[in-house]
Amino acid sequence: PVPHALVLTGLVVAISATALALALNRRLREMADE
Amino acid sequence: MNNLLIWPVAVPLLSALLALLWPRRSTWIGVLGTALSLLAVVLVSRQVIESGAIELALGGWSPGLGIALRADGLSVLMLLMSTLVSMAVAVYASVYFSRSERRSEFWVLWLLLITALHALFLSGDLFNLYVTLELLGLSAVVLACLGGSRESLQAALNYLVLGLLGSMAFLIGVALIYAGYGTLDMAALAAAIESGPTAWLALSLMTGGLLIKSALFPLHFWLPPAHSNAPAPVSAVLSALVVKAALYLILRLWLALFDEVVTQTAALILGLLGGIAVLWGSWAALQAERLKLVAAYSTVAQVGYLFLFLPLLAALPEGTTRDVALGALVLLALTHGFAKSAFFLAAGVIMQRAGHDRIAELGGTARALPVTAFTLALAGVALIGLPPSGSFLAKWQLLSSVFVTGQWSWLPVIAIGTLLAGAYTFRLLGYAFAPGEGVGPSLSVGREEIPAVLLALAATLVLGFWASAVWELVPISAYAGGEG
Repeated sequence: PVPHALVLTGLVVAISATALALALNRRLREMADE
Repeated sequence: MNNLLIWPVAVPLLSALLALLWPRRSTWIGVLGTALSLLAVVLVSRQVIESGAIELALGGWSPGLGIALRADGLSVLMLLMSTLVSMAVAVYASVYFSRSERRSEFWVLWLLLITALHALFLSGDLFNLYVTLELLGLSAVVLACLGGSRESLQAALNYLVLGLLGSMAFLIGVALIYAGYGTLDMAALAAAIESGPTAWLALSLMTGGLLIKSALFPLHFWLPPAHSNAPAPVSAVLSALVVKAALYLILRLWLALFDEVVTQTAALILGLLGGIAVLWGSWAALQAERLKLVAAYSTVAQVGYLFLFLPLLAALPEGTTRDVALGALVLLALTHGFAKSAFFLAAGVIMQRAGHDRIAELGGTARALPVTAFTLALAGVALIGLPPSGSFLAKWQLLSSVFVTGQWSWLPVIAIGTLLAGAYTFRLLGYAFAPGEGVGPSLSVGREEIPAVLLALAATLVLGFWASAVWELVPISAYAGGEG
C-alpha cells in the first residue's frame, strides 16, 4: 500500500467499471430504439 | 510463511485466462478449474484446522508495505461454502449453457467471480479487499445480464451503479483509515484502531457501502430484479455467495478491526433494519408470482436474519456465549448459501422445462420432475428453519441469545418471519405438488438435478448434524489480537 500504487489501482478499477456501465447503457439504448 | 494460500486465488484466475484463450474447451476448463479450486480450498482448510490461522506475505514483502493473505476459521468456512456451492452450480451450468452462444464468456466470468470470492475471503489488506470487492461486483454484473433480455440488462445496470456507489463509499473509508493510521494491513489495524472521529467516519462509510452490497433494507431494491432475471446458475451464486461476501466483510470490520468503535446503538440500528427486512422480504416473497422472485425476496429476508444477530452480539460479553452466537450467525449464512443455491438451480430446471416460472402454473411438477420437487421442498425446509437443518440450530441459538440478553423485541420478528417463510414455501410446494400439466413430462438430465439435490441435502442434513464443526472453527481467528 504505497500511495501511488493505490491510486493507480483505483484508477484502473474505476475506468473498467465506468466502461462496463457505459457499455450496458449503450446496449439498453439500442434495445429501446429497436 | 506458507505458499498454500495463493492457490485458491491463482487456480481460478489462471483457469479464467485459459478459458479466454481457448473458448472451445471453455466448459471443460470451467468445470475443471472449479474442481481444482475446490481442492486448493480443501488443502488450505485442512491446514487451518490442524494448525490454526495461517498467513502468507505476498512476494515476500512483509505486511505494512506488502499485502498479506490470511486464512482463519471464518475465512475457511466461507471459502468452503463458496467452493462447494460453485462446484455444484458449475456442474449444473455445464448443461445450462451447453448450447448457448454465451458459453465461453460465461465460463471466463464464472472463474473470475470465483477468483474474486476466494481472494476476498483470504485478503488481509484493506485495499486488496476493495479490489476484490470490485472484481466481484463487475463479474457478478456481467454474469447477471448474460441472458440478454431487456429486464436483465436494466437490472444489471442498476446493480452496477449501486454496487459502484457501495465500493466508492468503502474506498473513501479505506483512504481515511490510511490517512489516519498509515497502514492498511488488517492485523496491524486490529490492534491500532481506537475510537475517534476518523475511525467512526471510516466505519460508517465502509459499512454503508457494504450494506448496499449485502442488500439490507432499505438498500435492497436492486436485488430482486437482478437475481430474478439472471440465468439460474448465476442467480444461485449471486444470492448464495456474493451477498455473503459483503456480510463477511461487515463481520470482519465490526468484530476485528473496529471492535472498539462499534457502539450498541449502531448495532441496534442494523438489527432494526434487519428485522424490517425479515418481515418485508418474507411478505413480498409470499406475494410473488414467480419462483425466482420468491427466491430473491427470500434472500432479502434471510439477510435480515443475519443482521438481527448484530445487536445481540454487541450486547453479549466477550466469552463463550458470544462465540456461540457468532457461530450461529455463520451457520445461518452457510445454510442459506446452500439452500438458496439449491432453490435457484431447481427453479432453473423447472424454467427450462416449462418455459416460465409462474407459480400458479406449476401443477404437475412433482410428477414430471420428482427430484427437483424434492430439492425445492428440502431447500424450503432449510429456509424456514425446520430441524434438522443448520438454520434450525442457528435460529435456536438466535432465540437463546435473545433470552440471555433480554432483547425481547426480536422475538415476534423471528416468529413472524419464520411463519411467513413457512407460508411462502408451502404455497409454492402446494402448486408444485398439485396435479396439472404445467410442466410436461421430460427426460431429466442427472447433471442438472443432482447438484441441486446435493446442495439441498447439505443445507438440511450435513449442516444440521455436523454443525459442531462450524462452532469449532469460528473462534480460530487471525485477528484475535484486536478482540476487545
